[in-house]
Amino acid sequence: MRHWSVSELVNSGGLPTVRDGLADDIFLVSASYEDRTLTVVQSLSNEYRASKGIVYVNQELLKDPFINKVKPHLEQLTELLALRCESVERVEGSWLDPRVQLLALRDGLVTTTDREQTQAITIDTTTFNRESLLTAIALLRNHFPSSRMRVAYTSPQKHGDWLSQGYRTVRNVMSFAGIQQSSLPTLLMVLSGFEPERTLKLIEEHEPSKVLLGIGDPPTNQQFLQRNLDEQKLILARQEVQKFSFPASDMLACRESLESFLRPYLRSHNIAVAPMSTKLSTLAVFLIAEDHPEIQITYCVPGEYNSDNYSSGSDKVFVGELPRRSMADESL
Amino acid sequence: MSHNPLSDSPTRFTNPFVVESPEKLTTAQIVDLFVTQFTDIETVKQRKHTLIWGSRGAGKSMMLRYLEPQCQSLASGGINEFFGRGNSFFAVYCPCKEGQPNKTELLLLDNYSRLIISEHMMNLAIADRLVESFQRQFPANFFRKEDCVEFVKRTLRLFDRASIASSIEKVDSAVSLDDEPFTWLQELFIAENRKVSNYLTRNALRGGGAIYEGATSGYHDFLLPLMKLTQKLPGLNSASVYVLLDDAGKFTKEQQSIVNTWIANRDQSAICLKVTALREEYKTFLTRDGGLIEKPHDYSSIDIEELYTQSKEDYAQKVKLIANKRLGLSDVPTKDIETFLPPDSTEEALLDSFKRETAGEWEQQGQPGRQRDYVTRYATARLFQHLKASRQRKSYAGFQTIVHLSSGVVRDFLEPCYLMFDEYVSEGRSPDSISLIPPAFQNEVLFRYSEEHILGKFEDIRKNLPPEKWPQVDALKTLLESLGRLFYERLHDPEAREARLFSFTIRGSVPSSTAEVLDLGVRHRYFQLRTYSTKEGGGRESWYILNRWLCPAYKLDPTGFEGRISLTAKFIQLAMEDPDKFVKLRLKQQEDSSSEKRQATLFSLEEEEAG
Repeated sequence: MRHWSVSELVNSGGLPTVRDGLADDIFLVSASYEDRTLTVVQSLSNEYRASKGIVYVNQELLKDPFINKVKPHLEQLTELLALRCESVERVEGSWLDPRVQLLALRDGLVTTTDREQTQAITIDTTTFNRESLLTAIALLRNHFPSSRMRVAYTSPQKHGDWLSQGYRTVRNVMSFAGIQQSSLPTLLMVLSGFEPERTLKLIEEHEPSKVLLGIGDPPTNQQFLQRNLDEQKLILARQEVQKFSFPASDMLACRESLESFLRPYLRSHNIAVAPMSTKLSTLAVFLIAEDHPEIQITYCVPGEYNSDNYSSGSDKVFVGELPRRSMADESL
Repeated sequence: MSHNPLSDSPTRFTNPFVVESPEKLTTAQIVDLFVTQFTDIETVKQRKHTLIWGSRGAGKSMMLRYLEPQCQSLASGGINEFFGRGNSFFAVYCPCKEGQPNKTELLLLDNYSRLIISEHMMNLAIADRLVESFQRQFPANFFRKEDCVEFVKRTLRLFDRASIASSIEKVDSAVSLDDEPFTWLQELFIAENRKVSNYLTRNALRGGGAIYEGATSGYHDFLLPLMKLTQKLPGLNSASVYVLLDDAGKFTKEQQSIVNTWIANRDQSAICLKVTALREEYKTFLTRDGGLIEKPHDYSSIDIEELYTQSKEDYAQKVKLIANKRLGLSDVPTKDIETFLPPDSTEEALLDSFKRETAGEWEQQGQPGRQRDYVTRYATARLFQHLKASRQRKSYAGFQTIVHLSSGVVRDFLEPCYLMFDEYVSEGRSPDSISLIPPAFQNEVLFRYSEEHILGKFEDIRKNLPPEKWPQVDALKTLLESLGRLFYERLHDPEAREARLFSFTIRGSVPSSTAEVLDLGVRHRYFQLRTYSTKEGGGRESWYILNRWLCPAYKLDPTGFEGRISLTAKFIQLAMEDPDKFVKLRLKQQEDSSSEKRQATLFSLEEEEAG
């Protein structure tokens, strides 16, 4: 996975299309209240072109207290993509209602696009909420199995004092229910971030016999590591919790690392994985669940987001391609 | 055939009050720790569907696990002895886990498909647990292999053969039915589970057009006949199969309606359901067809916490037996919990003197009512009043007082004791040298527990709710403050005729916003909700009893009595908004009431609010 500072990326000519000289078929981005929602689109090369630009937005963000920040971002993204895409569509999903989220993404992403002709997709994962990102990628992988799929992620320079507060419910991410055997114990793997309350809620709801608590190390930014460790102290003190480290800044290395920790439990436990760290590690969890459909991806819906001060600045832009699925895996 | 030996290593506790999830305890630990007296276990053992209500930590899961064959075998002197009895049962523990039955993808199915798929998933989960029990809960060779093979073959016939053909082929390639029949059957269930999961995923990703290719199973064509086949296994002596659905609040409402439908069939001679849940999480009593399951025709129910409400003495005995068992399994030299947690002796002496004093008063006042009631009513209140006047802090130390504080939930007794012991050891003492926890040390932990674990919980509750519900948390906090202060004033008022108030009833109906706050209080166990006959007769009022763990924080009396005040909806509303005004007005109303001016005060309150 390659990464640049934003200025390096822009100075090098910006982000090109997936295939040299050929337009992408889909460019997908999610609009949010964070300024870094614009970074990748603003860093596209002058030659970048796509057949279809899709701007996803959760409908809850089009109301108070988010709308004042989200609406301008949404308009900017639409305008910028209109310069480079034949058409631009807005897809309104929901972070509260998983049914609305899935149906919106499914209608927006797949019904009007040709399965065979879609060969190159770019996804800016930066400001998707993790649940909708996982659902979107699952839909795209399923409908366009032969397409090359490139992901981009902009890490922030700084995170706010808090990212989200409280929690509403715990549920499996749509299409990642996993396969459970009721007689097996549960293993919960949490890729922790800066939201220890949500981790505790996940532990409380799943009542796992064992918890693997992952700390992103190396992180996307060294300053994030100590905060991550400090915030997870309380959880690490619990008897059933075992700590491990994973590379939060590299999707494929992360996948390899997570898989090595999970492999001993694949037959002996029902496994639920909660990605709560970077989007790159969330993508790694996607790849693992794709390889092992028995693994469930679980998600704790937050009570509210810190829309005023979730993050600031754009630090690095990470870009990489999702490995293609083998033909045997495409039978779903 | 895999097998767990019946004899586990002996249980020893470093901290005798440690609370461990029953799922993680071994058979020997469960038998060592479970107390059969005062637990309703005999009701649960009866061949009748039972709903078991109770808070987290009340002991529901422990009770269910105690019913499993290994535990019953240890308790009965052997597996053959247990199943040889006329009224034996084969209990299969089926915990409901987050993300297993309540999959998000079910939201995408139409109602009919959702019910069909849900029931099939639930059947597969129970069947898997049943077969797991054959393998884990019985001694090796308890079942003859040919009987097991026959059981599996008959079970297969319960499915549509064509629907499971591909699963059979897959399982055959990995496991031999003749060599490992139960493992073979579990693999088949996994294969069928995989089909359900694949279908749900396909349906989510592809939308219309996804076709389910696996089997389906219902109650009459699968679950009931499966249990009848189980009964026929030699050695089980036709025992009814008790399906122990633990934490059924994790089921969706539709899945709960499926359980209700099973219950309504009343086939207890073959399958008997024991369902535990937090009362507020069991969302329906309707069956799939809209029928209502009713007590006592369809099921019996028990509420584990009611033992305390009904008989405080029995509850204290139960806690004493549990605590003594735990002390017995630890290195602590003292094996009697009352000795281990002594009360404050100075305060005990003071209380005795007030008892003597009030007994004398009873004589002087012409023996009104029973002497014991008179002494109970006034002696403790006098003690509180005396301590306040002499600026001394009330002690909540002592086994009996801590039992009262725990309000009927055993875990709420064990947890503070765990903290006390842990902190006492951390001061450099060895567990085998601790013969008691001094009252002053107990008190420190008890006050802190009351403040941090009970009053400090509001932040946790808030986190568990969406922001739009946060005003309810504030209202609940204010309501508790209002009640705490009112009850404190009454308890410390030497003129109060009924000083020991600890609960309230509500006259008339309350607006839904108020009811939601009260429900929140019940859900988080700040209140226990009971009903009470109206003074006028012919109806019942909601009766809210405060959690006694609030007593140290508000300096109230936790012992026994549940003196109550009756509040109107307007007063409750006021208590949720303004503690100062509520306390002032309620105390004034009390004064006015004694001088027959009660009605005027109510009018004045209403006028103020209207303005």
